[in-house]
Amino acid sequence: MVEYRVRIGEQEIALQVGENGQISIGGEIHPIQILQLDDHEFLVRHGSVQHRLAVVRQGGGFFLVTEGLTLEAAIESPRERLIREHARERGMEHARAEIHAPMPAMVVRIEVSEGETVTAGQGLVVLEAMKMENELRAPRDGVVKAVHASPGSAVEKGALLMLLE
Amino acid sequence: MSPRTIRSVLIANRGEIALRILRTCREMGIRVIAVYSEPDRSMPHAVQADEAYLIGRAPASESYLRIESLIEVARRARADAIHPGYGFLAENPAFARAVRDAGMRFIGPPAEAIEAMGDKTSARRIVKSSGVPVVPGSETPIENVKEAEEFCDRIGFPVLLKATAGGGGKGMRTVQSPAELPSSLRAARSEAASAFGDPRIYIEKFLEQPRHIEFQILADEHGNAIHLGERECSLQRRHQKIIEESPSVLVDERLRQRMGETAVRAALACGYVNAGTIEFLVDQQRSFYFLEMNTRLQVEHPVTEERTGIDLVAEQIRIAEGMPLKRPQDSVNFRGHAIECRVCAEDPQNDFLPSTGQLLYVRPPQGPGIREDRGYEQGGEISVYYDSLLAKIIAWAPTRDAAIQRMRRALQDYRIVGVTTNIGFLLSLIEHPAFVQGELSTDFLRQHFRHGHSRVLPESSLQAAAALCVSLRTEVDGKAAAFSSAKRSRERPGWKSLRTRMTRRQRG
Repeated sequence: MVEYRVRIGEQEIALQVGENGQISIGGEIHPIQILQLDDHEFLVRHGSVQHRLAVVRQGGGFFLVTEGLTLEAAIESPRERLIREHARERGMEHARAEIHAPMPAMVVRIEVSEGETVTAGQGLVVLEAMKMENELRAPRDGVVKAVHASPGSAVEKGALLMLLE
Repeated sequence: MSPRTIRSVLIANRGEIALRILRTCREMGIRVIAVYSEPDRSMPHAVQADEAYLIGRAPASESYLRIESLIEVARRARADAIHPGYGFLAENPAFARAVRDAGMRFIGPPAEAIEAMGDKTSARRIVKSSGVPVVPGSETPIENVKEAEEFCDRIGFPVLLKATAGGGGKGMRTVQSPAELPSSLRAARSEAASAFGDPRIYIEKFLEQPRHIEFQILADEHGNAIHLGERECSLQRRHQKIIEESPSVLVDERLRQRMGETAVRAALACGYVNAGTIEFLVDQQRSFYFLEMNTRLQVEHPVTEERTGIDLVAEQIRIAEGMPLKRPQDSVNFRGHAIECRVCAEDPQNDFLPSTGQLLYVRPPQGPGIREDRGYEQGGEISVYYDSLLAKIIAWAPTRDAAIQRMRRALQDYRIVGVTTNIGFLLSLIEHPAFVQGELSTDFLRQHFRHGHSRVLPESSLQAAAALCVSLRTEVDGKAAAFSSAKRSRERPGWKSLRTRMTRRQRG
């Protein structure tokens, strides 16, 4: 029996897979049948209740589209959980936060300067994409260690914009 | 056939609106000429046209906004007329003039009317002089802080600062008290300058929880004008409309008649010809005020089409041919209720951040009373260069309640995989008790979604989703899985064949 933790959006669910592939949730065995309908669409038959979901693989996880929602799903096996917890313990001493561009965009404004103390939620950088301005905010309290972007420049998705410490 | 018959139209736009115009042209037997930017070469609007011309690189300023290139292509293709769609050059008087000077017809109003209505203070002056009520505000742009202070003292706070050249919420600021005025004025000016190249700001009284209700009008060259009823567009986020419907629950027959007549009067006041929209704000006491005129086809025009059975693009083309309106006001028939939802590539759970990427899978909703206007096909790329509108869903039903239920079903059926969409947010909006009751205002989101939007899966769906994820995962890991699917393909055959098809089209 292997326990997986599945995070779907903000929700989390623990699920056990038995030797024969049987799925149980909270100790209770769930009769689940899965059919692939086309490239991305799946049917999950839970007893006689049916759920339809579209899925696309994204890195180690999945994007799910169902009931109007686009949700990111991440799965953690027991081994991965051990690795993550270990890494977190070691990572404690240098808690840095990197601010990355979530999409390809133009840098409109830099709202803080190097050395400045910022509080969680404070605006750091304003990006423009698809004619809309979007403000990136500080994920936590900290000090701006470095600024790697300048107003008017174009940045790729994932580009490092700022370093907090 | 009169010499003014339009036999070919160049569509100076892209995406869903270009495709929507193309469809009507086809039905009218008109030859369609498309233009496309480099990344748009295999977009439906380009591949479905009779002729298509490359006009430049991805940024709109180097393609869809280049007046000279568009005119040059239209000449080369011997287009009789140009339809601008909405956005891009649709409300640019210089473009309308350039089209006319090149001896072609602009499917829209005369350049002079675009100019008169484009400047918000001039528009207010014009309609006010013909007896149309306007929101109390400054007659001319505000020159300095002192003038602003004096003016606000007179009309009282809160006030709204707006860009004279404005639109789309840019250069717009609500000011609650005198202390905020100087900094807000500075911010509004700089935003207006960068968005429109014109820093001028004027001041309006801020109405508390108003409704946004607009009237569709049609006017011909012969001085006839009619209205096609209202659309309520109160559901907005940052002054961008999200859901539109017709009729408005607030508007009864008497009010419709009064507002409709006022809208027609406002249009005639600026010598308007073609299709246009008069926007009003309506306060709690049902008093209505002219807000602005949009001198083009609106994103939400299908709501009116579904409710009246009138093809607005066909009407626009006939008017541009110089034909008189087909029907008088009293033979416009209204039936049932229509609602439109704008499906956008953005993430409502993450502050509406735009989402880009490839549409890996698209399955639109179907069934009676559902219309879907979409400019992208499966395999298409949502890029950072253009706006985030993916599709519009329009639900029609005999009653408002039935239209809401139909829309709900359609949104649940809709599958778009590859980018994050706002469909879950749209569902939360139309299911909200205040929306169902018709208690709307432009403040709706702030009132009811103050803490953002989060929608979660019901427990049973969550379990099913989790089981699916684990099955797919364990299959990859090479372990036994509760998985009885047909063969899994590592590649996506559907997408691959689509690519092959598109490559062939490009070559051909």
